[in-house]
Amino acid sequence: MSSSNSTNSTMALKGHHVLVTGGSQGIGAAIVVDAAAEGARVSFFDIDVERGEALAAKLNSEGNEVQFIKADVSKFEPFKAAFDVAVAKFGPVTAACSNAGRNSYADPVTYTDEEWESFFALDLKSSWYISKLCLPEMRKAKKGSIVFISSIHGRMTAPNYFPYSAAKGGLIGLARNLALDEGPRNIRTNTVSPGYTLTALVDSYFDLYPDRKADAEAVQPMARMGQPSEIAKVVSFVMSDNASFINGADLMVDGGLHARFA
Amino acid sequence: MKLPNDHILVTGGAKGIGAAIVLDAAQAGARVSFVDIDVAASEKYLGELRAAGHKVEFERADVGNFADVEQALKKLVAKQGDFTGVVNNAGVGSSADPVTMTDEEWDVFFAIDMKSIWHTAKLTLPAMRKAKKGAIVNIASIHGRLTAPNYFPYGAAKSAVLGLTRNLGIDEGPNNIRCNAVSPGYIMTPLSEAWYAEEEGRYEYAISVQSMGRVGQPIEIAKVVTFLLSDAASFVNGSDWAVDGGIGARSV
Repeated sequence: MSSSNSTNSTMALKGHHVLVTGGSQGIGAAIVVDAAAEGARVSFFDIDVERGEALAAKLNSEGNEVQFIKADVSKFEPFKAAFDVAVAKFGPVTAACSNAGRNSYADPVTYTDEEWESFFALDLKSSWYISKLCLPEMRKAKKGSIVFISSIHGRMTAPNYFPYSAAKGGLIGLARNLALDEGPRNIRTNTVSPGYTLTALVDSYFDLYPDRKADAEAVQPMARMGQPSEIAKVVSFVMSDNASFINGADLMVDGGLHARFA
Repeated sequence: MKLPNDHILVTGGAKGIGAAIVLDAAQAGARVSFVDIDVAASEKYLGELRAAGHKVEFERADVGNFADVEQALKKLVAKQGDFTGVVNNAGVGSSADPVTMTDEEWDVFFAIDMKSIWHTAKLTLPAMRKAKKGAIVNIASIHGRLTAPNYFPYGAAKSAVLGLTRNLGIDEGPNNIRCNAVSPGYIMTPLSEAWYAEEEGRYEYAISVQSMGRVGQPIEIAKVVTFLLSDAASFVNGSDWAVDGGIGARSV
């Protein structure tokens, strides 16, 4: 995880309670760090207890208000239980980021129904769950911001990712539906779509396909991959009032990769 | 201060969205230079900005005319240094009939709404390439991806702006120069206010299709532009960010 530059903080999320799923490492951890640096109380959920507790302890020792709660957000009941604990301590969630997800490199022939269900439960359905949990209070407050971390795979994809692109494309559609339906209540829903970002997930991909690391770097229009903090800055921006008219949008943060086909 | 060491060029900065971009960039700490064809409105605005303590300069230039822009930019660089960021905001609307539109009308329209983006790039890229840093933000439109009846050929020009954004993003990316587009939907500006007033029910219709129940304000575009100009957007390149309250997500 790359640490955010808190000296650049504009306190754009002061007064917010930000919820982040999958916040223990990678992009999610950077989102937790940046939201806290921007003045928010932050609750984050993850299945990785060790990293989650360590991150929360570090941020709290630096004077932030952060809580980690263990939860598998692909299942509604544990998600709701963690949510209730988070809200009991920090109050209603005012901005939510559904970040938890994993990769998929399946063969459509051998893939099992159970694998499919488990994958989509995390990469797509958990974003409905976070909305289901956060919307009642946001509707009451007539204000809220929901951000789904999609991917460049939401619009285009690469070989051997079946069915990752379907889940990430689904998030963009889900954000559009929520944007139109919750917009009248001043609740904005958007996606942020990273390209290659140097996280543990991407490292695991490059471990599987080492020859692709060089290829990935070669096609980067900015001649480098992104840092988690560079995604987090955009998420904090979209959550803040500075983005008060951004709704139903897919914000690409990929160094320009999606603009290129060859 | 999000733009502490920047010198930002804004085209069409006297009114509407451009004026909001000038102010927000100045408030973010940048030196700001703007060009416009409306000298009276520009000089009045310049006075207000300077009275508020901002480092702002203005030169008259018609962005549809390269020589004009070249002269203006020379003077602005002499006063405030090389540009570190450019916001191509100047533009005009179009609601032509493809049969009666003349060749000259076509050329004038595309010179302002499309070619001007190449021209400012031509003039400002050399210094940005040397600095190995820069940010270009093009104000496109929801018409870049979708359109509405009677806008011929506005959709073409704004779609072209998105294409230019991709080409510049990819080609200048290795020099750490980012190029992005911001695509507003219905925004309340002096220009759009006049357009709403032209026909009874236009404004009511615009509101009725907005999921947020309102049109946007120029400042809501400016905040996104400032963000994209800043280092906080250091990996955002070649993108088109819609700022339209969600209308671009709606089909009917």
